[in-house]
Amino acid sequence: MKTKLVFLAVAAVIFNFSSCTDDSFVVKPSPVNLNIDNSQTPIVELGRVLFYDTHLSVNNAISCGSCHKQTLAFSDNTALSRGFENMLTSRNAPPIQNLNNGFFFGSSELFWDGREFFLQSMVLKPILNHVEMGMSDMDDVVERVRNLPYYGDLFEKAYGSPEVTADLIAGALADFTGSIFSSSTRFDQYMSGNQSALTAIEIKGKNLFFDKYNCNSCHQTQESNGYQMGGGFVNIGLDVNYQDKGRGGFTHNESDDGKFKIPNLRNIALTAPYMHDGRFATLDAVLEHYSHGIVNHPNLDPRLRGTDGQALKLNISDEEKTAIIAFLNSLTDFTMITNPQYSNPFQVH
Amino acid sequence: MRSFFITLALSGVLVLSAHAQSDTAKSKCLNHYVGVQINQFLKQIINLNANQVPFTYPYLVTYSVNSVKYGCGLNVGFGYNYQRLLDKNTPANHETKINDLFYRAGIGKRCMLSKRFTANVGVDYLGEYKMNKTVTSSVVDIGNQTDSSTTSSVTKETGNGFGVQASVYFHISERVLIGTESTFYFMKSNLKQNVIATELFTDDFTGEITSRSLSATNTETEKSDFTITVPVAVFLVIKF
Repeated sequence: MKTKLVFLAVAAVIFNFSSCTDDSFVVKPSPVNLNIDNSQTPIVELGRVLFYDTHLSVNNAISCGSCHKQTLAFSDNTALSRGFENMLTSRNAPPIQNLNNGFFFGSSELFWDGREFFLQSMVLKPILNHVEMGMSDMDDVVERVRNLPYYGDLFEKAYGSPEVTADLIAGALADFTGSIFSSSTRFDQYMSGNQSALTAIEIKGKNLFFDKYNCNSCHQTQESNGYQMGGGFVNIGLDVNYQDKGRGGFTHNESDDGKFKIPNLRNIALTAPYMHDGRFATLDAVLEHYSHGIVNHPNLDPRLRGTDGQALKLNISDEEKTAIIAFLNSLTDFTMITNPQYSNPFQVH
Repeated sequence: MRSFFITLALSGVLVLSAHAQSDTAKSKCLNHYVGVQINQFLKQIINLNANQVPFTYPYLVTYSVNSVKYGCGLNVGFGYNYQRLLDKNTPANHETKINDLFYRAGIGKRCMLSKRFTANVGVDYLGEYKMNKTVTSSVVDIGNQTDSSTTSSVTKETGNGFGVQASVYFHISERVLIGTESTFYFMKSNLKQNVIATELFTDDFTGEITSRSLSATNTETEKSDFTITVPVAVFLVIKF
């Protein structure tokens, strides 16, 4: 009996391995049209096509837009996105919005650990990442783009020459991602003086957010980038031991272990799951973390410590949670997520 | 080589098992322990926090056989993962089949720490075989021509290593134990990736078809690393 069971188990494994090697795949492509929008800047338009073009991944499987979905404020609705071979990436895909801070174009602390400062270099990293898009080097990317018939025209319009270089690809992608801007939330209208833009419960939530719980000391929702420049990395007591050291993994400074970039709360209702690893599925779970789940860590942000030095328990009541979540929902920018200028130019017939 | 180790391990288990049964009537000289990792099961019935991060530990099933008198014995572990994923990322559809196999075999010594607790320490040989095949296809109408591409990528990773493990078990009853283990493993692996892409351009007016191999990438990388796993994998073990 035992021998039979072992035999059956081994046979099942062998069967599955063999099914992986055969060609029993059922991939059926949906024909699509490439629609160029001539109403916007040619460089931004070129960047838009590149952003959504799956040819920029090693096996033509995914594009930047596969993990950064417009309807989700250019984030992904899964804890960890999947790369070109459906392998899990190491962190939650953050939303793309308001990355251009205006003064130094695209200069900011980018990625969850802030390891990149310029959009122009940041946009190439996922393309060359061995899990995300898998290209081995930029020469391969340039060669591919050069060989695709629709890029000659786009480069000509954007840069005055059909010549393709890595810098030009990066520049166009940076221009497109930098152009994605959110400024039309109901909270923006409220801040502009339209007092009726928020409902009573949303105003109550705003007051709790700004005053009682001082969430705004980190998440500066009135700022377009959502945090204070220069102080954008905090440890919020998620774990006692961080497998992913976050900022510390980049700076190699122990005092940065467990610190991650403060996310912009614009469109927060669309960007679930939350945190750098997508551990919280809902806003309610996030508030529950601040309410009762903060754990002590040497690098825990002082704003999350009580006067006794221990991790705070904010004890947010259910009623208050409802109000805060109502306020956070008012940060959704429907204009941005439906703007055709940010949409996928490859459209199904 | 791999199949040799698997066969050897399974044969050893069966031989030792048969020996134990024949001796049961006299005096028991071997203890058998079959363990199953129950982290996901526990998460289904007890969810103490809202953490959604999936827990992955390669060994789903473990088996140990130990001498009652000396505590010395053989440990084996096995894990297998199969996934088939189909995605439609406009403009491309892609399908992936993933097969991951993990195994380990080694020797160890088991001892009673107290009436209710047992510890096991051992050294293991370990191996892994991972295969990922992804097929992608797209058809893009550019205006005056149609671009059809089909790409196949196959990634195979094979690895071998060794290391030490330590585990602690609590006896819920005489036959049922619950425990966890910590490992310190060195693994050397070889990763081969092969990508073949074929692109066809069809002129919408003349019907002329141009074929091009967009890329044929063959890469091979070797890596080696030490991995420490903290005791977070929980095993339910039956002793017989």
